[in-house]
Amino acid sequence: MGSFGGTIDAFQADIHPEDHPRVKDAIERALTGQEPYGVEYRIVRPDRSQRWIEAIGDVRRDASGAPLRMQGVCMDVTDRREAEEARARLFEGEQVARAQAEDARGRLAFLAEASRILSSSLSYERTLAKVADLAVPRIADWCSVDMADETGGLHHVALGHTDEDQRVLVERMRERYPPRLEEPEGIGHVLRTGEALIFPSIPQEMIARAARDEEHRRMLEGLSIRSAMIVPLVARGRTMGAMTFAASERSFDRSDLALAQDLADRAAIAIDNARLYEERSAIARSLQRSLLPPALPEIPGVEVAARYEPAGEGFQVGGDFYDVFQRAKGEWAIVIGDVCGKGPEAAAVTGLARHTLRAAWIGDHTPSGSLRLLNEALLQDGTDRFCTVAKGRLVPDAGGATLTVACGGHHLPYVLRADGAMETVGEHGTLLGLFQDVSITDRTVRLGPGDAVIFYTDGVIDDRDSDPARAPRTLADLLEGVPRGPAEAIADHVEERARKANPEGLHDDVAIVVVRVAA
Amino acid sequence: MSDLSIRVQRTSDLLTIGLVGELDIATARGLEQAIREVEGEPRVCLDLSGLRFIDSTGLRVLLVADAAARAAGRELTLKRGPERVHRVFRLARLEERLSFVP
Repeated sequence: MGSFGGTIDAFQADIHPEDHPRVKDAIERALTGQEPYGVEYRIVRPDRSQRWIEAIGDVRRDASGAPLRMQGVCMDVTDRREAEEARARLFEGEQVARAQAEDARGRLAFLAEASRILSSSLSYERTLAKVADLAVPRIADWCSVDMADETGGLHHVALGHTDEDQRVLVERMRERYPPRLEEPEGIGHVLRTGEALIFPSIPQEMIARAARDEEHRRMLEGLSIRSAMIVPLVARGRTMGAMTFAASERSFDRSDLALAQDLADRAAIAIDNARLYEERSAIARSLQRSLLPPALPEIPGVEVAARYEPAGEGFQVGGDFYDVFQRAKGEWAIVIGDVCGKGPEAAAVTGLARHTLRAAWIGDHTPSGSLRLLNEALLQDGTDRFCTVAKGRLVPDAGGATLTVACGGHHLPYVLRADGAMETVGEHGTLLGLFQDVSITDRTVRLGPGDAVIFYTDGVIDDRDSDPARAPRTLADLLEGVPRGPAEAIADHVEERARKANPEGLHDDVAIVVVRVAA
Repeated sequence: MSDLSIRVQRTSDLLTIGLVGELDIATARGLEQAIREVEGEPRVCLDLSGLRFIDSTGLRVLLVADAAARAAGRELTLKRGPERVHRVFRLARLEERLSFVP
């Protein structure tokens, strides 16, 4: 409780000068009956310390309504006020901290999103376009990516811009005045040194210095760039390009530079990966293509379907192969095989096997004869890579077809009869390429209308992920529920079941050839 | 990722290399190394009973080791694995060429 001299003046004498108007105003409003009296103000005590007072009260009036006196209470609310102020300060501090945390979280989320998007594509060009788009507008109003090539040339590869008109301007300028590696400043400097550059502001004289001629200067000024950053794209110690960020409204600071560099670092790794992947998979694809027939031949009265699915990332060549070709009039060959291992050496053996088997038909017309020839060719080649092959000789006729099969270390093909019955065809033979004496036998089976034969490699029945206590998977397990035809549908079914059996991805290549006598 | 553990154990003059896990393109090199380390041993047995899986690359390591042992006049025997492993040998007609022991 406070005490005062009884008059308004005496009362007001203690009030902090800054709070005078507020108190006076509150009294005025109470007297005129606008609202009950209530005000908080500071008083200055004789020792010059300050206290907060809360005053509340009302106005006593006579019968006519004229104010007689004010009565009420004054309380020292200093402690409460201070607590409130401390809370307000805390709250404010918390707001700032939260904003900072949100900003940091925002940056982290942005970078995480960037990583996700960047890793979702293994295409070099798409990756670059994504990089530029990502930066806009989160970091800059426009962002461009320039890549250096082996000969020191610079290629402008991607541009993201918030403003389409400006984007056209930037592109036009870049076309007319492409950045050059030998430039003392700018992109050239960053590429040579691998160091980032930041221009918090871009004064006129800087533009004048960078401009190669009057036209260039006008174009640069037309872009109204207020601030810019250039950061290097570095992967495996090599500066392969640079990202340029420009803002027209704001000024970049160190934290923007850090974010830009973080993005560039992630982008560089993604670009490097995409490049490597494209190089390797292009080599692998062309090699693999040379190991598989470009197209399946048409066999009158017989359907042919083939599937080939390499395991892994697609740049390991070799392994499985298949071939279907006409050997002589009315006589066709079906080959499926698996060379031990992967990589260039395995691919070379695959090539040798495929071409030998094609040529072998010229001399010996039996499948077993051509497998023996392949065995000799592999032994002569000196490779210790062996291979397993199943080869069939198909002779269609009016009532169906006759199939002769020989196997060298390979899974026996399955005959799937039109009525759903199934059986293997052939006899187990020695794998090829390791032993001088091999035991390989021809077996013949008669195929009627609607009968199909399935040749496959062991990736199809790979069961390493299943319970080891269970019986090993066979093709018969995968043929459960197989459609009765056509050949394409049978191949689809087997391929899909093989995939389902390896939900984490194929461990081994899958190759399937289905031939079916038309129903 | 496939996994292969290799345990070497000696009983009098017989050295047994026990294989547990998957012998494939990813693990074959480890076995190659282990076999090279015991090259001077007169009697080696490769125990496949703990194998869950074998592929052609794994098979190749066994065949190369068998050929080297035969050439040097050393004994290399194989203890057969579960059916899903052993069928690979049957398929390739290797049962009759390799020395399987019970």
